[in-house]
Amino acid sequence: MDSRRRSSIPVATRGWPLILSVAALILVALFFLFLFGGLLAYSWKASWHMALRSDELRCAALLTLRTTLASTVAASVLALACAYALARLDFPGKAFVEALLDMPIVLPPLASGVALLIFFGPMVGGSLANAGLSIVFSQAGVMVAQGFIALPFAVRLFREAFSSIDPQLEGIARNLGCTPGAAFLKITLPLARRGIASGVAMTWARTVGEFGATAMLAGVTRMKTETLSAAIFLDMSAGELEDAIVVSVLLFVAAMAVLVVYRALTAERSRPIDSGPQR
Amino acid sequence: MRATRKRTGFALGVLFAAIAAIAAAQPASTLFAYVGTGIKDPVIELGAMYERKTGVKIEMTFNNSGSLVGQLKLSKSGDIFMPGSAAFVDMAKEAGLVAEVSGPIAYHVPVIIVPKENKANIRGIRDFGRKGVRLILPDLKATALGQAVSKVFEAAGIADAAGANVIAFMETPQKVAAAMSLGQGDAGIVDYNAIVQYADRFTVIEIDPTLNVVEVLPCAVLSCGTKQDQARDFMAFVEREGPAVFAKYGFKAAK
Repeated sequence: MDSRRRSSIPVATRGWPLILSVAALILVALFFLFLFGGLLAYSWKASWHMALRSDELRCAALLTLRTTLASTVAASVLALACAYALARLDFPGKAFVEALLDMPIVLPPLASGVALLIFFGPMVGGSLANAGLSIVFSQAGVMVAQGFIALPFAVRLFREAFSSIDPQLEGIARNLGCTPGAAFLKITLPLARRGIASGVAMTWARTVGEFGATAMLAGVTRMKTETLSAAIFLDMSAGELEDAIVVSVLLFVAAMAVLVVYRALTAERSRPIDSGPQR
Repeated sequence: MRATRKRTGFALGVLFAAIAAIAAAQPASTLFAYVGTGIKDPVIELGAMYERKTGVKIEMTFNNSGSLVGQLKLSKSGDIFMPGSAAFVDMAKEAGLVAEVSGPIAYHVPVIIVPKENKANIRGIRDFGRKGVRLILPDLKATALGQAVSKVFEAAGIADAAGANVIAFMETPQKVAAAMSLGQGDAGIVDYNAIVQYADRFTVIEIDPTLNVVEVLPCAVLSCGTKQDQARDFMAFVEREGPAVFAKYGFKAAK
């Protein structure tokens, strides 16, 4: 790939669709910028140093970091496995299974939270307790709820990534002497890495914003199961609008930093025709 | 290809028609009310009664009281404010958004709920300080009822002991009841109307009246509203008819 492509627009894509697209992108980006700029501007009035020195906020930030990383890793691994089967196999009832996996996206998180509480409470809570595991009202519950809500996003995006790879490539690798494992690890996974990387980013983003299901399964106990999203909710509930906005702005800045750096590290240059190596 | 385009066009047409229909269906006169989620049922009934009587529709948005204050501060619109306690009316007043307050219409009275079998043998609020009791409480800062509970603990001298027994704080009293009906916790605190609402699920134990803290439920007319006379008329209606309706839903009502 030559370095000139980054700056010059390929001839094949020039024309009015691209112009319209660029115009739309600029408008939407400007709208988002003003929207979150308004949030930032509003936070100017708030007492920042008080908020930043609060132990509760530090605790919530650390808890959010820990739980979202853990739930993202767990959900991503599980989703990779599910997505590969969905991308490669057709089986009876596939539409049903796919719809079922989409349910956490469709249902309000609160409904998912009630379902999780029923499952980890009356249904299996007793057996889990005997095994020394407690999910309900614990930090483990925070991760379970975040992972559950984010899993379908990961499955969808990973599935897209796998589907875009011609299964014949795996076949060729097998013919050339690769084991099935090696073909998957050396051919499929590397080719899907871009989709997987962006899927992981979306999964993490979803876990950070999760609140409804987490609050139901894990409660919103301060200094214990209070994530940053829960902190925003609790501040709002107490009528402390300014504090809620301060936490929102902190979350916004941190998430922007993480996603920009992550995308810059994992992104590949966009190509006019996205189908394997260029001639 | 052409069939798909036709279908997409049809779907878009239906969507626009639906939006137009919804926009056109607004009644001639409406008041907009911010209502605390905890008092949703009686206020919905009061709104329906008022609409039957006057033809004026009361549109309501429900949320926890603190978030209502936030929405109110940011939108600076609406006519009526009925939060879960007077403290939230004071917040709106400080922001210069309240024209007039009436009430109390009813009271938020914390009560104890325990599962029917009451394995932890809870008989009163002082048992909350006993070692090993598992409590589920509404957040002590973010809910009106929680604020009252923290004062009750102070008065009973069990703030630290009870605090150590809490297995979870929930963001509303209703969620305390929901979590407890799924078999969590030995005791929880909800509003007095639990006696009616959850009679079949829990044993309700009243808190010693010498220790208990009661929050009043007020009704306020907002200064940002454009129909202040109509809003005052609704407030007077709520003051007159409200106590009976709140009592019907199990609330301790004003006499």
